[in-house]
Amino acid sequence: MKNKAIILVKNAIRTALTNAKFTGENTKKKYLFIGLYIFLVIYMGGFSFAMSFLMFDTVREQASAEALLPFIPVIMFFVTSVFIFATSIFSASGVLFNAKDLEMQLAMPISHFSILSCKFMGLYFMNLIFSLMILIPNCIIYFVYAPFNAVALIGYIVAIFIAPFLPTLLGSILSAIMTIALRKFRMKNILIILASIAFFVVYMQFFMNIQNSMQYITQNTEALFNSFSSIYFPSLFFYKSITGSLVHILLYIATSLIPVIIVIRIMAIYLSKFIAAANQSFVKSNYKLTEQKTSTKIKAATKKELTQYFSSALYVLNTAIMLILLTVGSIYSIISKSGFINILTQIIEENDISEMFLMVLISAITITACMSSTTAHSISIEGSRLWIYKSAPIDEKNIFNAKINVSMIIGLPLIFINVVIFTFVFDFSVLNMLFMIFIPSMALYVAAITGLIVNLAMPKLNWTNEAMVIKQSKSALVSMLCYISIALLIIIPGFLLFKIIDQTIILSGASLLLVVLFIILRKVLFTYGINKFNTLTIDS
Amino acid sequence: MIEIKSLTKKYGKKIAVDNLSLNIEAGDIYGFIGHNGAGKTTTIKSITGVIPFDEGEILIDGISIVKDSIAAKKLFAYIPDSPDLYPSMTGIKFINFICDIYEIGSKERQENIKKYSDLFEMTSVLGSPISSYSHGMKQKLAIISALSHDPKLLILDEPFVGLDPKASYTLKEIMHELCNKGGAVFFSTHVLEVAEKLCNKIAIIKNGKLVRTGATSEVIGDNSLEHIFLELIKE
Repeated sequence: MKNKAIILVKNAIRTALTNAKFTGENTKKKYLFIGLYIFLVIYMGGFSFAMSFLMFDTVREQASAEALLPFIPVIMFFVTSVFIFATSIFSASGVLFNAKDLEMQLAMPISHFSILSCKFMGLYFMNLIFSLMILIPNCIIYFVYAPFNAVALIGYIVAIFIAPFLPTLLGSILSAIMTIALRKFRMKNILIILASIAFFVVYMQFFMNIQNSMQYITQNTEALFNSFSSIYFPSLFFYKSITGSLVHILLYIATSLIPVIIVIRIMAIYLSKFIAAANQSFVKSNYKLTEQKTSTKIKAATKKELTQYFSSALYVLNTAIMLILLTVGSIYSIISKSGFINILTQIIEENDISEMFLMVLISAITITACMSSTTAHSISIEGSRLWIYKSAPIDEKNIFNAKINVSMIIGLPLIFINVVIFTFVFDFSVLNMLFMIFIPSMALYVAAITGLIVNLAMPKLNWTNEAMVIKQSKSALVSMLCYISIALLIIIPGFLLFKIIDQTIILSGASLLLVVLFIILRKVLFTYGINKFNTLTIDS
Repeated sequence: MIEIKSLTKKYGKKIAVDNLSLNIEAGDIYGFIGHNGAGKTTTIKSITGVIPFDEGEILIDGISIVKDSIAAKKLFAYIPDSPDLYPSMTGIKFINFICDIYEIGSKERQENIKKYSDLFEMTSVLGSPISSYSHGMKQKLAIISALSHDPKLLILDEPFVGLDPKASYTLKEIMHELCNKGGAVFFSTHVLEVAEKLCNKIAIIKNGKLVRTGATSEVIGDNSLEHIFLELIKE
């Protein structure tokens, strides 16, 4: 008889593949989606490839190159582990204790250990994709530069698959503790969001303080390795595994898997308590009916969208985080007179880039603004609640505008704060300040419309936990590509032309391009988008 | 109030509702009966504009649900079989959201909310988030929000599932009250005894096709509804 946990995992994978259109009768669609995923993996893996190449190439020129080379994969391994740990903190609770299919599985003759193992493997696979995208390119380049050793290659490949286990487990433990600790705290989502932002700020500050980071990393690889090993002990096992120590490969597997099994066994004993805590809400039974205020349809829909958005820490942290971090960083820089604004000032002074500096800043804010668009998940997140909008007398345009409004309400104040700070620090003219406000704001609007169109084209309404929509859906991945493309469409011509055309003309051109894009995409949203919305069903 | 003309809805090659025509008039409490997968929910979702349909026409008080969906939707309230509501909203915020969408004034909404939340004994918990509600409480909230905008027509999918006996009784009373005021109720149910006692008209659907419709007394004759239903689905 098959292990029930394996049956559950197989079923979950089969469902995920069917939902992703990797299987099924429609061959054309199937290959289209497989192609799309391959493209996305290559696209994201490309960043890791470029970064790894730069680091290895710099280290190669040093005297003790051979000894230093293995430290670079360790740095990438550490960064990957920290990222997996951080994202697991706010996605684990939803997957492990709040999935919609949990009740049904609990009623079945399946042990809590099997159920929890299946859910944990779901988290693991989610993180494994990230691990593969970052570490495989690094592995390839490492073995191009380092002397070939078959055991070391096996060690690296095994390590890529083992790497997500511990950070996922640590993130899950912290998530479980937070679930229990915050069960009676009404504003727990806000607290999780703030704690996560604080974590990212510290994480960024760590890298921010490394001035001329690439040079620093390559010149101090050994020192970094030592500190990573002391912070996160598997770094040492990883290092030994990729340098060909078979004993350490086995040790690494054991120290990663044994804690996972032990912790899941313990968590399984208290699974009911975790589920109860994750689903506990603040209950009041003393409500007194008072005068009720009225709102217009669009205002009511926007308020509903904002409530829905801020009720999910995962949603907030996967969208607005970049813009929030930029703003926190800007304010911190001003107060502490250090941080990235200081680094920027230094770069301008050391290099002759003052002419294109405005372009660089506008580009940075534009990319960050586009990435913070909230609309790419906004249709899917309705899930089985879509009937409310569909049966209500509200125009599709109002629904779409309400969803776009969330992006703008969150994005515009943050863009404005950053622009005011930059204008104050770098003494920009009023006209340049207006460009700095207009271009990122308009780009955010265009990104929000694009996200909505992408989500309408690739909806996922039959989700069992919100991580499936926010982190794993096609819409989330494709819209991310679109956001980057919108930002690049504005930025690249600017950088190509700034030496031959006046900056004001370039910025006016970029603004005009955005207005044209806005008009075209809005038309697409209100024709194609409305048609798609009207044909949406919960099975989408 | 509802005119369904030759409604056909397909899911791929499968015909879920096949050339169905019905006429629900003011004052009717119309029961819609059928086995699992017969096409009841698909019909109701088509009427309410939740899903599109392939052929036919649906008119709500003479207004097409396709051509002028906003005006048509203003006339009715729909409650699905297992209403999934926004969990992060409080009960009162959800009702206000619905009232705002239906453009109900402050005074009218307050009166309606008070009336129906008192009737369903929900007033004291309206300040709590919906995520803390039980299944039955969510159903009651969906009913209160549906009634708070004074619809002329109620369209309900399995409305009595999950309701306690008192709430079921209250809902039946409200149905009668609405019909006496010139409104209408169209609902699907598996509970044949309820349909037999409550409805003045019934329709029986089998494999997407309407097999019997008319006044309850005419459809049943000297038999029970259970007997007629079992005979019809056996054929």
